[in-house]
This record gives sequence, structure tokens and C-alpha cells, in this order.
Amino acid sequence: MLRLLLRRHLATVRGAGLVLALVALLTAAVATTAVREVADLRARQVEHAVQDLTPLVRDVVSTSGRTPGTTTGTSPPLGGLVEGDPVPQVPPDPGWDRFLAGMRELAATRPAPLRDVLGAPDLTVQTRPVAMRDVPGSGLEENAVVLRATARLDESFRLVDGAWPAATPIAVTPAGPAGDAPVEVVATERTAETLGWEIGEDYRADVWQHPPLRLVGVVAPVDPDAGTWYHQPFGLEPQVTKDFERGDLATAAAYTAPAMIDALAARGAQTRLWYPVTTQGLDAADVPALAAQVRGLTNDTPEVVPGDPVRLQAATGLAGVLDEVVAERVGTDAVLAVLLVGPLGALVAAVALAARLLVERGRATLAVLRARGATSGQLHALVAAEGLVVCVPAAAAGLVLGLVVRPGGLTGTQVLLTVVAAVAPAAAGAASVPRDLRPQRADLTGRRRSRARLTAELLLVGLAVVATALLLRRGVVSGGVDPLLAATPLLVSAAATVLAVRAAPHVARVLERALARRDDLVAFLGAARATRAPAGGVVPALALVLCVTVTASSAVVLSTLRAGTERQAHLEVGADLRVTGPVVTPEALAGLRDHDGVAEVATVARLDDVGTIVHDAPGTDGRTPVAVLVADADALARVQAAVPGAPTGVQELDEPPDDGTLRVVAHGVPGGEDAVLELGEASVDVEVAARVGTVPGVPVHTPFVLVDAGRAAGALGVAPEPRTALVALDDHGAAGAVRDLVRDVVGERATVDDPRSAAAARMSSPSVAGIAVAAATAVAVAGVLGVLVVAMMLVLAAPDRERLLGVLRSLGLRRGEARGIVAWEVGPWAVVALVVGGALGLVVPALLRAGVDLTPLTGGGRQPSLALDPVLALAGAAGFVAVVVVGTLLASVGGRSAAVDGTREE
Amino acid sequence: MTGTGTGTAVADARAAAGGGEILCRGLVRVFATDGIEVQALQGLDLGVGPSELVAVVGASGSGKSTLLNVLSGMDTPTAGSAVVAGTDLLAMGAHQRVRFRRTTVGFVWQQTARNLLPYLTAAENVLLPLEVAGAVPRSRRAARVRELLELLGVADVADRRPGRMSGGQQQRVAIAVAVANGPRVLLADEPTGELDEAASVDVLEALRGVNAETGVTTLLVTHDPAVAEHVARTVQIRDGRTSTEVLRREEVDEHGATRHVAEEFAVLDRVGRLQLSADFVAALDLRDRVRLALEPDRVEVRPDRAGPGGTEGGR
Repeated sequence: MLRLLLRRHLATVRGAGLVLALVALLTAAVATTAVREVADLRARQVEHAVQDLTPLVRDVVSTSGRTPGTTTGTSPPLGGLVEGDPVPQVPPDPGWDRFLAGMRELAATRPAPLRDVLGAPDLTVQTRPVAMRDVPGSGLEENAVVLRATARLDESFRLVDGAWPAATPIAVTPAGPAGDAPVEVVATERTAETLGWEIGEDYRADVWQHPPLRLVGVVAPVDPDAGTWYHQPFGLEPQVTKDFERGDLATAAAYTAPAMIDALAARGAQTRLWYPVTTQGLDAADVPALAAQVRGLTNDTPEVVPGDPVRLQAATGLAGVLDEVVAERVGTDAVLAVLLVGPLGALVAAVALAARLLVERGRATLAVLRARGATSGQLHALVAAEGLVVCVPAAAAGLVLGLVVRPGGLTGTQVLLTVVAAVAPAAAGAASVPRDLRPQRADLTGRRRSRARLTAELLLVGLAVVATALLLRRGVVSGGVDPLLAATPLLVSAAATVLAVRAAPHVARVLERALARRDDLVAFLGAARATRAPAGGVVPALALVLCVTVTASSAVVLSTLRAGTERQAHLEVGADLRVTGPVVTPEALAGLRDHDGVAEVATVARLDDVGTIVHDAPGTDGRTPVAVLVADADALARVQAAVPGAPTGVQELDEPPDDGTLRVVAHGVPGGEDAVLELGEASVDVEVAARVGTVPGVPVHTPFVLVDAGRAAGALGVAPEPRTALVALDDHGAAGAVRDLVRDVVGERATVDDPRSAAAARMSSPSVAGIAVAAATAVAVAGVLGVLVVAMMLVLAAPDRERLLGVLRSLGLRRGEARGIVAWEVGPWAVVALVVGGALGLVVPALLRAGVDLTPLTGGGRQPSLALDPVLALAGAAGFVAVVVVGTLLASVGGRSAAVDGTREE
Repeated sequence: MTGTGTGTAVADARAAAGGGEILCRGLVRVFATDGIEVQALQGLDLGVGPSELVAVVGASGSGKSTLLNVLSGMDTPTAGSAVVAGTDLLAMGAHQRVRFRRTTVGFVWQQTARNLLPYLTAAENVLLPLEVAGAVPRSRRAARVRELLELLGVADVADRRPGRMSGGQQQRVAIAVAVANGPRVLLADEPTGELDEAASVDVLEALRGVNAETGVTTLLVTHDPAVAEHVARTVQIRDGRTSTEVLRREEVDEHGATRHVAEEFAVLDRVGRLQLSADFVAALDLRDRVRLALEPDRVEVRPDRAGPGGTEGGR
């Protein structure tokens, strides 16, 4: 019977069931996908931060002055440290396999996730550069070779020609390695070519007693892009320094057998042990733990092999980077929480509404069952069973849909969320079975409910005020998950909504009175119904307000982040275009100025010599070393006229007082206005016209003074070679078109930056891109929920409306007027939602800005000010109108079938 | 005491008023909201004996719906006492309420939607209360359903859903549903309210048939005075109190012809108040106060022509 009842009953409430199913599906799909997406975002944040580092910073490295595998450390007295010449011997193998095994074991005993992050260990031992005698025809003025042994020579290289190096007899004297037997080495083709070496030939070192080197083989790297080469300088190819005075100088690396290296490095071994670090597959939740574990490792000096002179003294830049990731994540999480809590609230409202719809639609059945003696428990069970029958498959489908759209691992959290999505609507349905199922006479029911509502609403408003006050008083914080910050926007939204719902009838009543005088039935009736028999009430109004709030605050947050990032990028680049790298010659400068679209060009040079400001600041020694920046002040002022944060006073630099004093703009220089600048031989009185934080586009992190190029030439006698040109364009946005042409003028090696590209790069970082995706998702979910809420609101009101329209039609109401009546049901709430939601869309980001440090997301600088892209704002408003229209259309489809149900049931 | 024909109906009714299947004493129900009080029942007394069929008649707003809600356990009176089939409605807990609905009373309402589920057939609708209560063994339920539908004369529509039955058939199926679990009391709220005259007669006869066949005590609430003609005892409610009763019986006169006799009685409550019918009041233009005179075998009520208005009289 229950099954029959369930099946037949569900068929009659299929509209409500469908909505419930949609809500469950949406909830499951979005929640589980969001979990995966956030996990993925965090993983990408870590990747982005860590993989951009070079292995030199990233990897866990330990250095030592001793050679592993040697019992006594450096220079075992091969042949004996005795009187006379030591006898050369073949040194024993140091047993590095055992040492690497020790390192592997050390890593394995570390806790996860650290042990999974540490890759296969490696080690090299090398000598200091050994000066070699010239090889005729190499074209090198000087060459030096680092002799290096590695534990995995044949894994890093493959042999192209010749043989691998073997150990040969060698002696060690207090002066270093000695002997006549050539030391066998291999080198890469590039190295051999640069040094002019050939296989089988011996090459003598320019060091007393040092044994000669014999190239026995030529090798090629297995993977030239591998991280290991960062730890093996010159391993792939020699470094050639061009010195115009002395000719080319080369430093190369040659690889020898591990047994030989201790003797060869008798005068100072450079041992390097390292674990390559890869954070791929790192669970982002483990980042704080990993940072702590890395610190634990670096603070420890464990033995690798008992008794070995080399212990692990790990060092890495990883921990600091991980800390930055965590800091950035706090900002991201806060923004995400604020963005997602809105749809969540709307979702809860939609679930409540769908549950109410289910119960309303089944009310007659429930009333009959209760009258026939069904217990409350049975009625709740029936509604819950209906909810479950509909929602369990829907939630499962949502989970699968999410997995299809966004594949990823299925975690316990996701399954739990799916279960919640399936059970919550059923539970809400069961909970909304009213105690009394009979139709109520409004005049005979008590006011207890409305008192309870008033209390709840006052409590809500109070909480919102307290939360906001707490948040504003606390100010910007960083670190830790922040429930206050996540909850405050929701509280404020809910409080504003209940206030709006309270205020709306009064507004509608004024409207009603105004419209009553007009000869328009629809408007009057619509306003009257909105006041006296509102279609929705608090729940749908709250849902709609939250939908608009989500959309508006997403738009504001994204606009704010974008504007902040662009401002910061503009500040960093310092102009519409910045050209750096080669010296900007006067010809190039003239070429740039003549360029189409270029409005102005300013060059900035940083003098190689450091100057000193002599000042009278108390408590100091009166001397501050400063970098001296030389710029075309007038042009710089014009170029940076529109740049945010550009220093004031630049345009006055070329109008100094007549007494020969040099006017400067200074940073980090204490003391009063008057000081003396010493530069080389020159010494000149200066007047500090302005003190600034930075000159946009010219990153200098030490104290500096900025002087005008023309004045500096006279006063200091310098003719600087500027390597930075700041370009202002006629059309500020046309950087892309001018960029390539600028390269033609200045040189191919020039780096050309523009704020837009810099901002775009910043905006595409996982954090900001993730926030953008989250915002888009939140808006999309809010849109779908909005449609559902409008539809449900109208369907819930359908029976009453059909009765009314039936009466009115019999009095001659036209179809268009009937539509007008429907529009009046949803219109007032839509307007309330648009007004209140729009206002909250500004308040919520303001709260966010007050509570969260957003600068890690915008690239530093100061907290971005609120901004709203008008295009986004218009799109949001248009979207909301579309949502209301679609919801109304949907309800007219559902409402027709509901009306049929209604007439049959009554 | 059922229906037609014996001369002792009046005595029986008096006996019933002292105790029986339905017993209300000084029933008061006050709805209070926003400081306004509405007295729906103002000390109503009513007694219905076992197996009796009684119609409660009253104009709209007289309190008859409130009375039925109280008797069906859906509403709780403000004061007074109400006992239905031995169950004290004022002291009823949630469990008792469920048991009360399952086995003690059956209801028939005016609207089909409140009686029958639109998506179940007549047979399934009758089966529903049997399943809910579980009092009848599973194996006997189908037979019980058939039996009930036959008793009500709707066996031919057993497999039809309510939407495909006539109004009269729907209400007869509803009666079958109401008595499915063999309740001691059957409460019917305007069961013929939406029916035409012929169908009304069908349904009333069906009610009477069930009453006669099963002996279920039946209380019928209606605003339609015509209904009263089918019932032996009719109780009139005015302003939240029982005002008059009409007892009907058939008499065989000296010529052997059967004639229907209806006698109207005013109800005298426990403290001696009675209501005069509106006709009487209008006919003699009784206002404000009347003269009462005790005669050896009666009490006389005469208009007070002399005095001005002021105090309420006639009650």
C-alpha cells in the first residue's frame, strides 16, 4: 500500500518532485565539483608557487667540505704522509651506493607528505676549478676545469664515444693531488669542443704536481632539461666569459670516477647532496604540515651512514615558499567562502521552498491519511520517502554529472556532500509537514507564530550588526580559517532581506493607495495582493536577494581584483610601455619618440657607482649610501602623469634654485631638506624636493635619489647610459601594436612590458583564475536557483491565483491582464531583490576588503579599492531580469498542470 | 435508538442526553486573536445514545463546524467536557488521538478531496484506512472492502477513481471508507452539501442504512433543513448552543394510514435556560423582556407591552 501510495502520489506531485530533484542534482553536482575544484586550485597554487622556483631554491640541498664514504674525511694520506714522495695508489671506491641508500632511508623515515615530496637523492663531489694549460687552437685565453664525481654518472649521461672513467693511481701530498698517471675524465661534446679536447689525449693542469687529465670518453646528457643540472654547474657546457681586456675565459666541468675525487679534492672538496623536490600530487591540505616538516628537516643534522664524516645539513627555500602559499590561500579561501556562502544560502532557501511545495501539493493526501489515523511519524515518513525516492537518484546523477564535467578523484567528503544533497530535501520535506493540515482561518489563528518570527528576525539583525562591528573593529587579518568573515556577509544579507521583507508591504501599500486612484484594475489588484496575500514571503525573497547579492558581489569582487591588479601592474611597469635591457641610445630614443602612437618617452638610468648622501639626521652617522637614478625629469613627469602612485615633485627637478643646488627626489634618506650628495669625486649640495616610496617602473629596493639628467650632467659630470625607457602612448591601450615596433628600434634583446599584459599574467595565476571560476560558478548557480525559486514561488501561489483568475475571467478579464496579475506576484519581490541585492553586492565586498588582505592576489602594493565594471553590472542586471522571465515561463508550464491538479483535488 | 417508528423516541433522547456515545456538557470554544474573542461554542450540551442517528442543523456561523471539529478530535474545546465513545476529548494524548481516529470514529466530509485520494480507486481508498489501522487481519481485508462497497451500493465502481464517479457515488464510497475499521461513531459534515436533491437522498439513505446495519452512532451536521426530514432526531444549533430538537416518528392512525409526525422541542439546559424559536419571537413580537407565568401544567411566555427595551430576554 505504501508503495502504491508513494507511486501514485508522486505522480500527482511530479512538478514539486521535479523541482526537488533539480535542487538535489544541482546541490550534489556543484558541491562535489566545488570540492574537487578547490582541492585542484590549491594543488595548482602550490604547483604555481613551487614549480616556478629553480631546483636550486626548491630542492633540499646539503653541502659539505668532506667527501662521503671516506672514513677520515679529506685527504687520506694515500701513499702515506711521510718524508719523501708518496707512492701513488689506486684509491678504494667510496661506496656511494651505500650512502645514497642511507639518504633514501633517511627520506623514508620522514613523515608523509615530506617523504613523498623528496625525490631520488643524488650527490656530487667536486674540486675547486683547476687552472689548465692552454690548448693551442682553442681560442681561449684561460680555462679552468672543475673535476666532479657523481654517484649516478651513467644515469645522467650516456656515452657517445670512448669509455667511462676508471680509477687510476694517485698520490696526495700536503700541497694537493700528485702523480704522473693521468686522471681519466669524461665531458660533454660541447665541453670538449670548447676546451679543444680530444679523446685519448692528456691535458696538463697549471698546478704544481697535479696529475694530468685524460679525456677517455665523450658523453651526452640523458635529459638536458632535468633539474639535476642546476646542481651540476658547467656540467652540460662550459661557461665562457668574454673579457675584452683578457680574451675569453672558460670554466668547464669534467667527470671522473668517484674513487678519484677525494684525492683530487684534497685541497677542499665541495660535496653536494640533494633531494629533488616535486610537489606534484601533493595534497594541498598538507601544505602547512609539509612546511613544518621541511623546517624540522632543515633544523636537524642526521647521520646518513653511521660514522660517515658527511651528515645531512639540509637547506631549502621550500618552507618559505610554502608559507607564502598558505598566506595567499588565506586570501583566496576568504574570497571563495564569501562567494560560495551566498549560493549556499540561496540553495538552502530553495530546498526549503521545494520541500514546502512538496508538502503543499500533497496536503490533501496527508490530511486524509491523518484523518484516517495515520500517525505523525507515518506522515513524516511518507514525505521523507517521497523526497528520498526523488532525491537519491538525482543526487547520484549530480555526482556523476559533476565527475563528467570535472573529472577527479572521488573522496569521502564528496560522497558525504552527495548524501547530504539527497537527504536534506527529504528531511526538509518531512520537517515542513505542518501539525495542522486543515485550511486555516486567518482570523482564528494566533499571533504566536508572528511573535516567534519577530524574535528570530530581531536576533538575526542583532547578530548581523555585531558580526559587522566585530569585523570592522578587527580590521585586516591574515592567517587561519575565518568563520566570522564567511558568516558576516550571509548574516548581513539575511538581515537586510528580512528588513526589506518587512518594509516591502508598506511600500506596496503606498503604491496600492496611489494606484487605487487610477483606473487600472491590474495595478491596483496586483499591489493589493502583494500587500495582503503575498505569493512568497521571507524564504523566496531571501533566496532572490541572495541570488542578486551573489551576482553583484561577484562582479564587484572580480572588478576590484582586476582594477587592483591593473593598478599594481601599472605601478610596476610605470608607463604604458616599459623597455628594458639594452642601452637606450639617443638615436633609439629619437626613433622611439618619432614612432607612430608614441606620445612621450622618458629614460631612466641607474648609475653604476653608489653615491652617498651626507645629511644632518640625528641618531645616524650622517651618511646614507644611495643609488643614483638619472632621468629626463620633465619627460618622466609627463609619461607618468596618469600612473597611479607616481611621485610628485619630479617635474620640479629641472627647475632647481639658482644657487647651483641640485634638486632630488629621495627614498629612504633621513634628515631635512638640505644635504650633500657625494658621487665619486664630485660633491654637490642637494635639496630634497620630495620623499617617495618608489618610482613606478624602476624597481630599486635600496635608498635612492632621483635627479634630472640635464642637471646631473652639469653638477655631477656624469653621462649615464639609460637601460630603461618608459613610453607613454597616445592610445593607452595600444601597447600590443607598438610593442614589436619598439623592439625594432631598441633591439631584439629588449624586454617590453605593458601593464595590461602584466595584469593579465597576474590574473591568470591559479588563485585569481580560481576565484574568477568560482565567481562565475556562483553566479551560474545563483541564476539557476533564481529561476527555480521564481518558478516555485509562482507555482505555490497557483491554486489561489487560479481561483482569483477564474472569478476575474468570468467578470471579463483579458489574457494580458491575467499575465499582469502574475507579473505583480513576482515583480515586487524582484524589485526588492534587485535593490537590496544590488546594495548588498557593494556591502559584501566592502566587508571582504575590510577583513581580508587582498594584496597577495593583486600582486602587492596597497589594498585595492572597490570597483565595479559597468559592463559586468549591466550584464548581471540583465541576467536577473532574464532569470525572472524564465522562472515565470517555467511556472506557467508547471502552473497549468498544478491548476489541473487543483481542480481535481478540490 | 434508531430511526423510525416507536413512540418512545422522546424518552430515549432524554436518556441519551444523560449519557451515551456522544456526550457534551457546557462545551465552550473561544477563538482569541488580536484581543478579539469569538465565542463559537457557548456552553453547548448534547447527548447522543448508542446507534442513534442524529442531525445537527444550524445556520452558517452557528458553531456546528466547530462542534464537529471538537468531536472529531481536531480541535480542543476551551471549557466544558466532551466524551465520544468513552474517550475524553479534553484529556486525549497524541497516541490516544491516533487510536481515536483509527478505530473510534469515522468521518465523512463535504468535499471529496477530504474523503478520498484522487489517485486511488474506490476499493483502494477503502483499503487505505484498513492498512493504516491494521486492525483487520491482512487476509480478510479484501473481503472487508468488498463487503463495505456492497453495503453502500457502490461495488460496481470499485475499480474507478473518484474522478470517474458521480458525486453521490463518491460520498457513498467515502462513507465506506469512514466505517471501514468499524468505528463506534460516524461523524458526517455536510455530506450532501455539494449534491443535487436525488443524490442527497441516496447518500442520506445510505447513511441510514449503514446506521441500521452496523449500529454505528451517527452524527450528521448540515445547514440544510431538508436533510432533517430523513432523520428521527434533529438538533438545532443557534449561537453556539443547542436550541431546539425535532423528533419524528410515524404513527398509524385509527384508519390504519401511516402518518409522519414531527414534534419540535425547545432544549432546556441544566440551569433552566431555553431558546425560543425565531418564529415564536417574531410572531408575538417578543422583545427585550417577556412575562413568564407558571401554570399548573405549563409555563407561559407573554410579551411585555408596557416597558421600554433594555435587558435581554427570551433565553
